[in-house]
Amino acid sequence: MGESPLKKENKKGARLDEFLQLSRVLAAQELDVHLAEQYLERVRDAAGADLDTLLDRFQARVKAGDDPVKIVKDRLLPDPKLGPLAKTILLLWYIGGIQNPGSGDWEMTSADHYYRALVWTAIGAHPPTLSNGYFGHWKYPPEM
Amino acid sequence: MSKAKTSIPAQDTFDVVIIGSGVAGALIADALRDNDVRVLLLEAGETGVDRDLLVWNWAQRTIKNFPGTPYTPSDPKKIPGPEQPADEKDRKNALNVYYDQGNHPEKYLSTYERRVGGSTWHWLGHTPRLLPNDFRLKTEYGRGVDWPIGYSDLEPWYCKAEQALGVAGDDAEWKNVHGAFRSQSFPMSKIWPSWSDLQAARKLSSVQIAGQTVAVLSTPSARNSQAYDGRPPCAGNASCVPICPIGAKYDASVHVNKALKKNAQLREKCVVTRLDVDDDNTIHLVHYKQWDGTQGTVSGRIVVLAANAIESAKLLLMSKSDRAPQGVANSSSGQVGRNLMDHLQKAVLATSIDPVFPFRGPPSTSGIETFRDGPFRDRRGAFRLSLGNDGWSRAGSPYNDVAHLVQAEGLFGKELRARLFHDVSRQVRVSCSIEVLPNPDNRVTLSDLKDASGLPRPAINFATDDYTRSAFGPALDVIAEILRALGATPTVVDRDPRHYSGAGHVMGTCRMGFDPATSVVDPDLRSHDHRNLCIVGSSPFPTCGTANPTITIAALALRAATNIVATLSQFPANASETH
Amino acid sequence: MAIQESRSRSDLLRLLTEACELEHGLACSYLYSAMSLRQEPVGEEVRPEEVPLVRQWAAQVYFVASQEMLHLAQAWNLLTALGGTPYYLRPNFPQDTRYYPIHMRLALEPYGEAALDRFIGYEKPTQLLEKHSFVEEIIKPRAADTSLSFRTVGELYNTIEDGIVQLPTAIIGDSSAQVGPDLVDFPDIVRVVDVDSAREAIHRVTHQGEGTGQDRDDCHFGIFLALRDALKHQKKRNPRFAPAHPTLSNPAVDRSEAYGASRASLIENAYSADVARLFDGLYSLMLRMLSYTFAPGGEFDLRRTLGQGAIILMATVIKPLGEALSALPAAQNPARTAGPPFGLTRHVLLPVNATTAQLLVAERLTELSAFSAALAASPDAPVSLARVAAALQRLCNFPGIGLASTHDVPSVQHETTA
Repeated sequence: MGESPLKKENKKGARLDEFLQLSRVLAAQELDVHLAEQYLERVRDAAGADLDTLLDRFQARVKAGDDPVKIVKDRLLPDPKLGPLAKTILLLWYIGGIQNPGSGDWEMTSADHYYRALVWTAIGAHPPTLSNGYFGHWKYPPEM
Repeated sequence: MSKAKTSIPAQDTFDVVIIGSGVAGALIADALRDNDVRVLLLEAGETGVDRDLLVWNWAQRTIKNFPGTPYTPSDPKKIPGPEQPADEKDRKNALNVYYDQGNHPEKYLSTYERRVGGSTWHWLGHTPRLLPNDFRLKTEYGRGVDWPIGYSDLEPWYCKAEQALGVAGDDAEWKNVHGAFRSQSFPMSKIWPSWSDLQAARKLSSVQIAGQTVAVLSTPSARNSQAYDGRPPCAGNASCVPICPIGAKYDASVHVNKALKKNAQLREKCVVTRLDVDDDNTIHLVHYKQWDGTQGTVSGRIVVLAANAIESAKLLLMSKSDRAPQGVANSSSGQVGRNLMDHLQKAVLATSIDPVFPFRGPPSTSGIETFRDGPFRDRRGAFRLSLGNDGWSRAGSPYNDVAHLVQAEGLFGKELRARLFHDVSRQVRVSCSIEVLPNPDNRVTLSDLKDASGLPRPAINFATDDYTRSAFGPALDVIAEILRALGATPTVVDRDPRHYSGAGHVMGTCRMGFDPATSVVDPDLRSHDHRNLCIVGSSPFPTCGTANPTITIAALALRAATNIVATLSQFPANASETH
Repeated sequence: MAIQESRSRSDLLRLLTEACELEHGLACSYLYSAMSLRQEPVGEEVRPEEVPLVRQWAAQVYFVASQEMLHLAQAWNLLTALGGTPYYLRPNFPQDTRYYPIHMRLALEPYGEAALDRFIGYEKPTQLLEKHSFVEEIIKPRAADTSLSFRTVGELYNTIEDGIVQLPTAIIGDSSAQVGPDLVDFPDIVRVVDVDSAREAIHRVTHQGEGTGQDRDDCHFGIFLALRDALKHQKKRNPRFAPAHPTLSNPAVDRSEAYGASRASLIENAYSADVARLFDGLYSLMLRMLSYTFAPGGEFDLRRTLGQGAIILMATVIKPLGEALSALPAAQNPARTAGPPFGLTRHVLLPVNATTAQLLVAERLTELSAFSAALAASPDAPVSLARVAAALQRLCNFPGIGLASTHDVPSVQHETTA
């Protein structure tokens, strides 16, 4: 008999919190839970068990009382396997896509991810085709 | 085939058949309907899906790059044009899988959209007019050729075209730029310049560039600055190229739809394959092939060819016959397909000392017109400069910036955001656009290679000359001076005049002129060889100045429509057009 | 019919102040509804693919609001041309329907069919009045009253125009006080220097609002009709579609401050109330800055600085703050969100003396900037508050405005709040 559905649900739920927590440190801002759920799934598809290793390592140091920012900087990013994965997660939040290492193309899966990518607000702009603005707003400095 | 032998059903018989539903064809169709002329628009592309869906499809494209394209055909049987890029391995030799450019050292770099409404779907929307001297390059500077009409002849039509498209501009700024007087106000006040433009204008107002004061002028654009013609004002979606999500930027589907509401007929997915020449050298029968392979024929008292400079020329050449051994409209001059032009561009990316907040507003809202004319034009080409609001998007920004900061520099958190903002908010671009002289060897001919439907692909031969090449240096020098005045540091500048990008301005190939021996159409855009064949678009341009061609195309089209209405009675419905 | 009484200069000035109140009230009404529109997907109420549509609608309403502000500015030019001064007061919301002769319930409501119905009514062309039987809604002219009646905004302007044409020596104001596009970002504003330009100004206003015969699509009336159709259409496709935050109607912070609005809905959540206070403070300051630009006698450079500053304040601070307030809770009960009150509170006009005027503006800006920073630092703060505080801080450094800016600062300093 396999895992009970309840246990699986809990497992997914628990990792979402951890994923969100790590993502918050990477992005240094509040993040949308629903988006996090979708990104978690994409990362899982891309990285499989490596994601668990990453989250395990992060959690272990958090429980040990280390500063989360330092954990990322000193323990995760320098790691030859976990570092690139952490960066992939960060770029997924920022760009909404995962870069194909061969072609360099950004592979997206949804328009929503394209629109809610963090890069646009970070640079004081907006995703092309959705300005959230009105005529003439580009004459003034951005709302940021 | 003579008239007596063909019998075209009434439903396929029209007063005017217009080949191509881009801006020229659409404007003419609409104007003709206002005069109760029975019109058919034949379009090689499709109408496709709604604008909203186009945008959504673009936003969720699995491979994201800018500008990308939203125009993937909804019908998989599309007979494609130049939209399909060449394979990775062929990229060096070919821009796309459609043009045949052989092993030529230089390549023609501009393409177009095959769809209802044409390339105005993805154009930037800029509508500066040609300058008076652009029409008389030969007389003024001894270079190129003169147009058979002058700026004053076309000026009233420019005004009408601006009304039709809905052009926003500043009357005071554009009162008399290089002698280009304006007899009417712009229909709408200008698209507001960007923050970046304003800083540039301020800094340039107190310096001299190349020994002159340069003014930063807002660029007239077919982009609404207020609700106009039932379309909303620009909201700064910053995606003009490749698509305006709200229709604030004009595209020719506007006039296609107006014409359709007035009962013009549109047949889409119809690639015209041949024009027949009758005994009296008129053109009546237009043969086409649909995407599903079915063939069709229609007949017009007057035929208007509005398929863009490459496709129009190709069609004329494909229509070789005994009566027209060099191709339709090509008997007297042999100039069909020749004198292909483009504007050649270089972009300089730089870092501003202060944030200028790019990626907001239309990709360009201002430019510098100072160097579009002058005594130097006896030696080298003129150029127009545009200020970019799109940062270094041509180099993959902002995605590449984030990627670099994260992957190469290992930044994250607040530091990443601060650096990202710091770097990208200072990205500026200044581009130059250089004129190209007509050259009979720059030409479109028929390739032996065939497209997906079995029609010959266009073989294109294109090379720049000294006139154009020697303009790049001065243009880049001017840009360097400007950037210095702005306090901006350029990235690496490629000064090689063989490296440039196309402007998307496909022009020439059926040029206007008085003399049938050296031109394809007369000053009224009628073929010298076939009285009832009218060739519009940018094909008739004898020279191209430094202006984006669309408003000139529109002005010529409206003028041609008036001529068509006036001359229609010369071509009565004939025996071949009975059921 | 509007009463054809002969109109003195005093009558015209009063009618123009009525026009000012109306344009101002309309602008706020439209802004409120635009600010209430959501920015992000919310379950089934706003699906991800509906977000671009909602943002487009917001852009359209903001555009109409910007034209109302242009109309207000145009009315100020007309006032000063007739010898008056700019007028920015108006009743607070919700307004008494009997306050104007027409049945015009100016109110602050979130975007929706009800709001759009009202907007369509505001912009209704005079010519269409007879066609729809709204006659019963129209208050009959008050016979004994000397006040002048009108059934639509368009009719009010027609009455004003007639009055100007009939008044001997109507235009007596100093033409250097007239505000053109060089002073403030209203590209289509007309400087009123004679009767012809006065009529041109009025025609532009009525054309944009109610349009003329063939031209209905592009005027406000046409735009709102199209928006209402689009909303109905989307609701058919998605029955749960709810593009606006459930803001209060006619929110207010403090009944004692917002005089005239006894039936406003108080914002009870303490944090939201503070943010609303910040909003009202900025809004009031912006109006006073703009009034300086339009008033006769001010110093040219300061008029331009304050004019530019007011617009930047509007675009980069007030707008995002209003949007933030539309998402903040109104009270403990999470059913309603707050919304920006646009509460006009008591204050003085800026004095003509440039040094004093600049000092007042700089002090008040600094004060509000510190307040915004404190609000942004609160644990209740939404993310957008930090951006608002940063924009306000930058405005304090705007050349010619800030406390420490007696010299020409070559460029604006920008920092992130990273």
